[in-house]
Amino acid sequence: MSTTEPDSEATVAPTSDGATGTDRDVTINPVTEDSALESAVRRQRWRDAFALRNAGVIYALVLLLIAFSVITLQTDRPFYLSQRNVANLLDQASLFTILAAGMTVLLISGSFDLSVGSLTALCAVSAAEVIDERGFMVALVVALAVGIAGGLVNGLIHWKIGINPFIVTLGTLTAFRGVVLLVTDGRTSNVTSDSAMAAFERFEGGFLTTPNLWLVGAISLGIWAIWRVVRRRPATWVTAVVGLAAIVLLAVSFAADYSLRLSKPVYYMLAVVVLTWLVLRYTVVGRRLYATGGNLDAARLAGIAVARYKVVPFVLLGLLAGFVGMLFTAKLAAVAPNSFEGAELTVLAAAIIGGVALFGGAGDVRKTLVGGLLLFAIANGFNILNIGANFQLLFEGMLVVIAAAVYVVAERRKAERGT
Amino acid sequence: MNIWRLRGTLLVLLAGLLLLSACADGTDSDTAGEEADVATDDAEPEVAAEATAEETAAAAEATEPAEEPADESAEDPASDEELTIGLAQQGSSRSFVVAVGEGAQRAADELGVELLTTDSQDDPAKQANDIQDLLAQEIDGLIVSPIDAGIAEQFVRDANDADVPILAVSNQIGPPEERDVDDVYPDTVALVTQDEVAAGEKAASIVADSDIDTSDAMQIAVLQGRAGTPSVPLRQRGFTTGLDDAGVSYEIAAEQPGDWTQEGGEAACQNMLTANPDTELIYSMSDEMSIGCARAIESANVDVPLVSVGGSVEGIKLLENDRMLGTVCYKPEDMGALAVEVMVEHLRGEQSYDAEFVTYETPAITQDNIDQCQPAQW
Repeated sequence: MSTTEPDSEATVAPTSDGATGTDRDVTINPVTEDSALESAVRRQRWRDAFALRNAGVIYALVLLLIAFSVITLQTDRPFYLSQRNVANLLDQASLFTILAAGMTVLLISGSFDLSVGSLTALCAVSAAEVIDERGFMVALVVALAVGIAGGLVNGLIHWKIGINPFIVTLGTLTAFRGVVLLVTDGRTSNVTSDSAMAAFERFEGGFLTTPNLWLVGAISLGIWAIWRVVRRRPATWVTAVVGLAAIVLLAVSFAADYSLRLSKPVYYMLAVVVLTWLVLRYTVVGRRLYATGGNLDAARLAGIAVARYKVVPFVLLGLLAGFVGMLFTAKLAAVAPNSFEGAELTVLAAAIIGGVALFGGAGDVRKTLVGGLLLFAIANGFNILNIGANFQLLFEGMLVVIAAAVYVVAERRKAERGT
Repeated sequence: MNIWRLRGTLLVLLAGLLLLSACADGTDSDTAGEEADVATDDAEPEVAAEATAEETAAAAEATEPAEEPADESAEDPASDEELTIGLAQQGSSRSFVVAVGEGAQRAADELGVELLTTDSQDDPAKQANDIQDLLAQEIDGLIVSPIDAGIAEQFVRDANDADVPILAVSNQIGPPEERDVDDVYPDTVALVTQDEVAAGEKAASIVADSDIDTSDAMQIAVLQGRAGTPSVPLRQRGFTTGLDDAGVSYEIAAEQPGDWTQEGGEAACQNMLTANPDTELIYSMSDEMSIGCARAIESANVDVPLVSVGGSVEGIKLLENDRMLGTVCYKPEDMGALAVEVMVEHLRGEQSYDAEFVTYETPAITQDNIDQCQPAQW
């Protein structure tokens, strides 16, 4: 934490020229006016990245992990950050975080979906109902198709009739659950055929072990430091510290192995998050999505086909609901009619804790991932510490409010400074 | 401007919360210990375990609790080896479920084993995560109170993969449509639960032993639980079998689901009493529904006796106030304790269990023997 303290102090004066700057600035030796400005901008970008409103969720997760680890070390509970528990935590967060990634896209576009839990359950039971007779591939197609159809229903009703998405999906939340009960007759649908179980094993079961994460960390930090030197950026403390850290990590990697035996859903989750982030960050589609969510009229006047950017996110979330439904069916080989009840709130909470704006135009899917991990780290940590769930709910609820408060207050201060 | 100050506040708040939860952990187990001390004296004689189905059938005849298991639990309160048992609970919003957990904790304290309890907030998917967390803590045995019988099949596979014996309490594993309750799921230690059929028979015995005129085709209305709940057909079958065996002449005039709730029970009883004015008895499948049903009987201003299954605090109150003829006393605390006892016996090798159906005595309660169900356990 201590390294970030000066940053937030410094954000008070964004145009500061080094006189009021931080320790870090002392070593910078601007060659020309341009590079002085450039480095000031770069410094500002760094400070923003570490500011509470941007990185708060990461601090919270780190803090929570440290706290749980310390407590488990001092009691006789198994170590919180043991490889097995971290792998379990990631596995437990995977399905909801995939949905939260879709929800992030939808929220950025300025919409909202309460029906995602019911829709996921509907996809799951649809798959479970057909898989024994038709096989895995048909079931997967059915699950995805049901998800897409559900997303289309939400999106088209919202856009074509012009009903607020909150109301549309409040209705479909109940309606989709109704279809689940119709399909299952209120009973759990079980998957029994051997071929389906074998397909599940290939699709969802089993584990893939990561390389030693100390080594991965050392290599990535090393590459980053070298890249900075090669690009001939002025040498800073940051480069030095990172380079040193890379060497330390390399040394650690020889001594200790920290490789995670991760379940397949974790890799699916990482793939979805990375892909979503790349599209949002680096493509025209992503920029138009932010524009549409930020200001619909301006986006329309700028020539963006806003209808597309309003409806497709619903379909994307539906598609992911289908995929998650299939993963869920594969995981438990049975789908209860009340599965994913209340899931929409967890999914929304992950996105909100990750700093996605409820009214569109802002959000970062990487932080949604952290938000999802944070929520499941709490549940998992309370299990490891053997604390009752009542405390857990209180804790989770407070976290959502605190997170929202931090973002709102930080935004307001930023706006005040701007004027 | 004051972002730094705000950040400090946040840190302090988070740290405080964590500290609080850590303290809560300590206090929790302390109070549990105290409760257990208080409960020890009156609890033991009520516990009755039947290891096999035959014994269960035999015990259904006997009205008094079997004696032998009582001395077992009194025998060795502590053993050298420290066993850790996981209990994957359903949730904490229903008193019956909570009572199962309290009984289990009590037994664990008595037997000197550690009990790790998780709470899945009635979400079968979270229960799967909870079990993953429990298995990661290298428990010696796993007790699960399944939310969903079908999904619980996966838990058996998970536990077997981890070489941890698994036992179901309260609800069965494996879909009840395909599996009788005493046909316990293979590769589990046991199923510890009520014998629902026996409970139905007990309810019938209340009718047979009462001074109601049962000579000519008594008109009975049955207030059922939510359709699809496994216990509904079992409590029904036990009740009719019991009446047949006692030679009662009766006719089921009406059957309506009250969905296990007070409101549902009230509406269903109103409908049944309106449609069948000559109803002579109502058999309600739960105390909760009986509360609503008693209201319906009173507002219809008829004198129809009510027989119920439950033995909850509310049910006993109905009985005390003479608004109900009798009920069957379920003892969730004893059931939770029994589950832990069976698991510990199995783990210590005192007795080996293999997919056994284990149950306990659920006595019929009327005003005459109301003390047998006091204090009510849920």
